[in-house]
Amino acid sequence: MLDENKLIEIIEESLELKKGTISSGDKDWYSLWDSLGHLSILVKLDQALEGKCSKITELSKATSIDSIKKVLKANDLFEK
Amino acid sequence: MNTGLSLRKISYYLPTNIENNDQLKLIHPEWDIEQVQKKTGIYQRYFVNDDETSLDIGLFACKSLFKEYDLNPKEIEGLLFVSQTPDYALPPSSCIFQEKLCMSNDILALDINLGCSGFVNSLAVAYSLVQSKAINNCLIICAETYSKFINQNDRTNKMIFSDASSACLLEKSKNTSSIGDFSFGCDGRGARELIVEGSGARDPLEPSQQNLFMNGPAILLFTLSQVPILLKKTLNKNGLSLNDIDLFVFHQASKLVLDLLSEKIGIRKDKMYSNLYKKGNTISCSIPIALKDAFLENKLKPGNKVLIIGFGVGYSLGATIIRW
Repeated sequence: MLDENKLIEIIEESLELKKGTISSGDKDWYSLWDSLGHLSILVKLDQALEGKCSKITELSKATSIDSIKKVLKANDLFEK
Repeated sequence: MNTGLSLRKISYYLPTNIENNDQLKLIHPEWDIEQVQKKTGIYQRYFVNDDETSLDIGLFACKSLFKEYDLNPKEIEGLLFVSQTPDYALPPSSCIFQEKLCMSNDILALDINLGCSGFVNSLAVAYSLVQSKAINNCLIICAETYSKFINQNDRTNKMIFSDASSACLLEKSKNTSSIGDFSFGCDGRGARELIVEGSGARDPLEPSQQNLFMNGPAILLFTLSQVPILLKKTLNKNGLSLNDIDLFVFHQASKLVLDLLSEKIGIRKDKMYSNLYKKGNTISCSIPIALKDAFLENKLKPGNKVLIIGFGVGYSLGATIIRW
């Protein structure tokens, strides 16, 4: 199960951002979240959740932090 | 495993036009080419001329096969043509191949519309026909020209797919070669995740608007969830374990996909074959080309057990184990 901090850490690692970039309020990093960036996020999420993500097809369209949280919550993979 | 069937005779053709990532960088300086190459593992790709089709390049592969193995086309009893980019909606290209290759009029000729799983699933059809004694041998031709549907500004698809063709002969043999039992998979919910809208009878579009669309993340999730299951099923069906397999020749989707599948399934890196760097993703041709390359590189030797698995468009999957 993931929490907010772990999810942000995964996204920062996947998009090769400096730690703290997302919480800094700077939105420029979001341009790096293209299709390739999304692939990297899905891969790291799947690894962190021990293969449970690959069965959740909705994640392919979840291209924001909030939408990922929503999908993970619906599948009991995110702390409520 | 059913002995006495061999798939050792394989030839392939790559178009003469080559585009590499250094050339692409000059055309699209805004693209992060290194980052994409890191994920795809692909440095160069091949593409046909505007006036060349899958039929043309398929013929090159067949002529090369006949010459390399001294085959008489008149002695071939079955012909399967696998492509998602045929010359016409009708007639089937397989009938044109029969005429162009001077093959017998008694031949069974079929077109099969499948992509990345096309080779394995066609092999299953050919295998069944030969096993049932309906025919004694079968030519499987794969030819793809996805470049005709790829928008020049589509960074992802442009850096992955490569045009190519392959031809191989499934035949009865006195050597120890054999083909094992097959496993299949299909999930039509993924039909729209890899699609060329307007390319058929439904809501047709002008050719210039017929672009390949690929939802990479959706296909990645499908692959990671389904391929390990199919692989396990195939091993069980054939009474083999992962350690019994000498080489894994998967559809050459991308480095990212092959690395993730290796990790997830527990395949040693040296057993997972890849020729992506110089060949790209050649869709239905990727497995026969990889088998040939692995053989030429001495990574595949007579008697070796090789597990082949194709997955992609549809979604569709197919797998089997070959004793080389």
